[in-house]
Amino acid sequence: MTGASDSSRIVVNGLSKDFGRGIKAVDQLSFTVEPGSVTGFLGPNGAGKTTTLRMLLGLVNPSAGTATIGGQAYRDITNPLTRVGASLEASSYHPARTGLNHLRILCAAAGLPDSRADAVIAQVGLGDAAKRKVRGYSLGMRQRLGLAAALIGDPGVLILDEPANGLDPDGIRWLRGFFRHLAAEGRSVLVSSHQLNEIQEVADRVVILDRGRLVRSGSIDELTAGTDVVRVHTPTPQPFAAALAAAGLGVVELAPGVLDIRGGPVELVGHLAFVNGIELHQLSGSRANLEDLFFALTQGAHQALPQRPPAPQPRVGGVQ
Amino acid sequence: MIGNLLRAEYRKFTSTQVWFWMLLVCVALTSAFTAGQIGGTKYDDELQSNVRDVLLSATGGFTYIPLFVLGVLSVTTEYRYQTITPTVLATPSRWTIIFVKTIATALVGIVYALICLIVELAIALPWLATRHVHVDLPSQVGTLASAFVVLALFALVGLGAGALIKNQIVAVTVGVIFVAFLDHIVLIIPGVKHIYPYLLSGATNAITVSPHDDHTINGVTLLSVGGGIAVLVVWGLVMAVLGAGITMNRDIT
Repeated sequence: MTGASDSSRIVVNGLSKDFGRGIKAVDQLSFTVEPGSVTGFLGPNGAGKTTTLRMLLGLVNPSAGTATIGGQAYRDITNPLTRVGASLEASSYHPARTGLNHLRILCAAAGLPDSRADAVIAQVGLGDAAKRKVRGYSLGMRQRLGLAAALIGDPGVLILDEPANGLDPDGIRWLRGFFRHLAAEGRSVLVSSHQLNEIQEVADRVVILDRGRLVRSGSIDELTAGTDVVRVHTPTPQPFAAALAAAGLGVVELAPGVLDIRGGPVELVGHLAFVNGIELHQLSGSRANLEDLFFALTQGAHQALPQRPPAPQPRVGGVQ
Repeated sequence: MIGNLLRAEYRKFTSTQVWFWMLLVCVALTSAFTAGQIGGTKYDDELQSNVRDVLLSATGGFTYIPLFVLGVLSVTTEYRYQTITPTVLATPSRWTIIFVKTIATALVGIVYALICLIVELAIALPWLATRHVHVDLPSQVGTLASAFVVLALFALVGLGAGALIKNQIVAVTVGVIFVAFLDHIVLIIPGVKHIYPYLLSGATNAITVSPHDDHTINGVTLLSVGGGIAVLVVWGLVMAVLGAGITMNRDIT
């Protein structure tokens, strides 16, 4: 593996794809995947994720813009399987070919020894099925075979499109560990997925698309910053709400004696209760997770962060 | 790099059973038409004068069709099963892909054509001997070579058709209809029949026609043997180049 270096930086700059009739699958998309990071590539169905990944890999010709890996377009990379591994769909196999032979063909094309095929098929847990024809593979097994194909050249960059599709809970757990393993090895990973919880656990950064456009990119901490909500239960909500408002925090009374406070961490709220002599029965903090963020951003409701179950109308003097 | 890609093509070819079944069809057709030529000729004297036709059985018996299909499958299978995606990921240049497939298909065509000729001779020579027909093999080298060339080149033509028309069924159907029917229909249409020598059937006839016959069919003069070979090569290569430049260069979605 090449390790984390500029040769594995992915730069997408002003990328657009128009499939005709004025429908833009991707529209002026720009983002960067830093070397040695795991980046989640998120968006609802039809957001343009797969088209973007295919443009990055030279399978689809962009209408405008550029996509490079280590400063080179994929088409210009010599022996690309040793620099970039990709797993795009679980159906790119000849059904009458064995999984091992599929990988050995890639070994031959990349000038790699056949032992690489044996190694990666074992790495993804398909060693026992290596000599079975792909037509007998389940969708989850095909996904694993796709991951094995991506790893065949021991590349520093991995581009994975929905690798969790078709995996059962065991497979998803395995995939989580697999991502961690890849990240620990210092590979740059760009992974599109609908498994938001899995992405949250393994991704350093996320790129969120909607209708072909970039909605937001950054680390999960950056994107969820400012979404802290502290909930308190107190028998004296009125004076505490006033004290909180005086400290510049937003307060909403959800129910008698139940306050949601925004704009400050749980430590600050606890401190204000202490210095104002307020009795608290509960003090808890929460922050929007990736799922909250994703739905808010892709439904045009960012201002509603974090999403919660419907709450009663505010009753007391919140500054909200 | 080309050596690696040829090795990959060899593995694609041998890792399914298509190669075996197509070879079986080639051998069966060669055997059937060789047997038909010998068995269907009643008199030994007549057979002696038809030795050339017997030795052309390998091409006369539609054996070129499975070789054409084999060439078509070399490209269209990649699209049918979407293996074109890993193929392009390993080799982003469509020109390199088609160049390697052209070499690989030509080699496959040569091997299959040789096997067909061996099968033909294995059936014909002992059988003709029992009919007291003498075969002077050195004088028939040209005949055997023309059968061999036609078979091998039809694999190349198939590759071109497959690159240009990536749908497997459409490519095979269009190719067979052209060679088996439309080319011959052209021959009977007064205004356009002079293009016949430049069509696949016309070129095939130019290669296989007896040097002792006049080189005309229905008033149309055929090309020389070299001209016929050139026409088949050009058909295969032009379609392959157009396929790589247009069809295969389209988005793979």
